Amino acid sequence: MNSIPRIDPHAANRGFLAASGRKRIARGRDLAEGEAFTASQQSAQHQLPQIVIKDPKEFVLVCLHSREGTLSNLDREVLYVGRVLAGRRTDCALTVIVFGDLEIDMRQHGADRVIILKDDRYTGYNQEEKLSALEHLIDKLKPQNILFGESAEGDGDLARRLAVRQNMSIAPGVIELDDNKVRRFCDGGWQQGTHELTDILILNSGTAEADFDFETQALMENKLAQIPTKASTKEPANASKVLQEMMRSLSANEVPLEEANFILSGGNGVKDFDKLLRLAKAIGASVGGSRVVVDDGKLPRECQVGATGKTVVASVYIAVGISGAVQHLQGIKDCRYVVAVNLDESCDMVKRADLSLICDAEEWMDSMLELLGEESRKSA
Amino acid sequence: MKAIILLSLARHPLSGKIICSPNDLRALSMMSSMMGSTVDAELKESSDGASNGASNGASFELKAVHAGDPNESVMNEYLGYGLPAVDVIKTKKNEDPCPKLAKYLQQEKPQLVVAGMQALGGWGSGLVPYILAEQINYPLISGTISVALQDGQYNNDEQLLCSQYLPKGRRRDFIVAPPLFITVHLRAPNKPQFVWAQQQQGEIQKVAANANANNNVKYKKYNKSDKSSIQLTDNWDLAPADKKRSRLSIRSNRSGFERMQRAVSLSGGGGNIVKDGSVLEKAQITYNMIKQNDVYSEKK
Ligand SMILES: Cc1cc2nc3c(=O)[nH]c(=O)nc-3n(C[C@H](O)[C@H](O)[C@H](O)COP(=O)(O)OP(=O)(O)OC[C@H]3O[C@@H](n4cnc5c(N)ncnc54)[C@H](O)[C@@H]3O)c2cc1C
Repeated sequence: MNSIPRIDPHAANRGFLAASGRKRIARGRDLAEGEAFTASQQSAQHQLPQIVIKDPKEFVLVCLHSREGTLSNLDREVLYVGRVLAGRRTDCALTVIVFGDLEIDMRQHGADRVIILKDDRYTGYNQEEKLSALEHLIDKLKPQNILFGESAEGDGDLARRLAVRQNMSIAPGVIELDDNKVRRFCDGGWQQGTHELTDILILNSGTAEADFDFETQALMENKLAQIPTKASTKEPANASKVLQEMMRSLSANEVPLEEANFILSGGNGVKDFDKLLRLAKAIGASVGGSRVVVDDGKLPRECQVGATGKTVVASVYIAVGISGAVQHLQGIKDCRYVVAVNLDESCDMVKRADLSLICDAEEWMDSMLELLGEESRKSA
Repeated sequence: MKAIILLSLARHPLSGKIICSPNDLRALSMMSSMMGSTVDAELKESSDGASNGASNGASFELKAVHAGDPNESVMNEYLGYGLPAVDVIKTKKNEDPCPKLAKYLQQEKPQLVVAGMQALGGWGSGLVPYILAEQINYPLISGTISVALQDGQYNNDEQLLCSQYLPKGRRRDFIVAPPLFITVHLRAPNKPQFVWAQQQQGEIQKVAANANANNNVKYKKYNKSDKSSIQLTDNWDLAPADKKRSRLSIRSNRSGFERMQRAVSLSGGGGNIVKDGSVLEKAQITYNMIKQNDVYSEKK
């Protein structure tokens, strides 16, 4: 009878403390005898495995552009793939070349070595300048593979230039890869090509999980970042004859919602939509809404965010009176910073949000408008 | 000003039929909208008077070229979209079109070459514009959404004003002295108009561009591999597409429980919840946040 092991759920050492502070019981996760339930014990367990590459002999390169100091999901995937490819060799480091400034911790993004290029000559669409920097680094490091993302920031553009200039083998639009094979679609999606890993790989999104459960060193390669100006070499004949180059941002009402960087979105909790529109105009945000308000005709159909509406990628998304149904959350999964304004602290939007303000939507909008009025009077 | 647009044929994603490439039609649509009208109002406003001299875009002389089978009837359809003629350079099936196209462009000497971002049939690598631009020595700007002509403000030559798509409502405008090679972004305005009468009037012209495959272009060699010319599709195994994809991941030996726990502990905690205080204070918090995140644009 006693041969079946029984677990006493009431034993003093049963279970463990989850990060949320609640006690949890799960198989094989009991405390040792005499240990106390503390939160710190939890974090100690979550030390990520470290990847240390002391003296790299081989390299895998990842080349990307940062935006506002951060990286996109695609960039993360590319880094993950780079780390995996480097990990399959001994003494092989993932060296990341970043054009632009970087504020995030690259140790959590699989980089063994980091080269940041943020001189004036690398800002803007200076592809020739970036290309010669890449050529210099490739010459120094002799990488096994060079990875790019097929991003809108010009990474794929740079990759193709590099392939043509240096006559390297290239696999654009990679949809799948493993240790030694890449796969891409061709012929309008009717055929596929497979090949061993090429010199240059341009990855589509969805090639990797980007779940970094390890930490790397991310050592800065300041010496390599000193790239000699190519004063000695003469201008190539096809040096761009760009007389003027300037950046601009479309104003909030011109930007399509899918592209917008800043969105103010209203849901069922908002009564006065004129006020919402006025506030959006005052803060320079594009207007979005949940399906309910769009169905009610309070906002036009183009404004609907979510599974059956638009998928948005704003840096800041303010959800006013939106409960956060999964169908809505699906549409904002790539938003960087989400703010919830809601009366109900327990709603799903508050769980998703980076900042939640528990208050009435109308009052909040009034206060915002008041505040903005004050600010503009102050500056006037 | 002479502009040449490169046309390709695509395969329909559902029916598999050969069709006009949607990407190239978009490029064509962008070019034709530039021909009839003056400079894009949005563009004009933004470039701070730089485009004061923006002339009527009608001075574009648009030619089209395709390398492939001159007897392919689908090419006829392009004529209906407002092209009086399409030059077709005969190439064999699976022949690299680049040497002949480069030769053709060298003969024609256009000030502007326009191409779609990527072919939607064949290899579809998006490399052809880069190879051609390198071979004929034109600077290349990728992903443009508009292009226009203007009188030069620096000298009397004509200049090109083009604008490049960037995500999140950003655009990059260029004023460029021709020649220039551009590719057209998928977000460029697209209103192709098919007119049957135009198709009837138009003409497919067979042209010869005899280029021996080894053009006079010299590539530097990357010492890792030893290749003599750009070989795009060599050694690729082709097969009918398998739409299933699997994501690359490091196989971890941690248990499902451990992974779940990690996911929970990482996403746990959530954001900052502000409950107490007056509404005005909460508005102030929001205001500070949008200022910090650099998205607030002061009203002009
Ligand atoms: C097939 C399908 C597809 C769908 N697709 C979409 C989609 O694409 N996009 C989408 O948005 N929805 C979609 N939905 C609908 C979705 O399930 C929800 O019904 C909808 O998102 C809810 O909208 P809401 O949050 O505005 O309204 P509610 O769920 O009614 O939420 C209102 C919120 O406002 C708060 N509130 C109320 N009064 C105030 C106040 N005075 N001040 C502050 N807060 C207040 C409440 O606490 C509540 O959280 C879809 C549903 C289905 C079945």
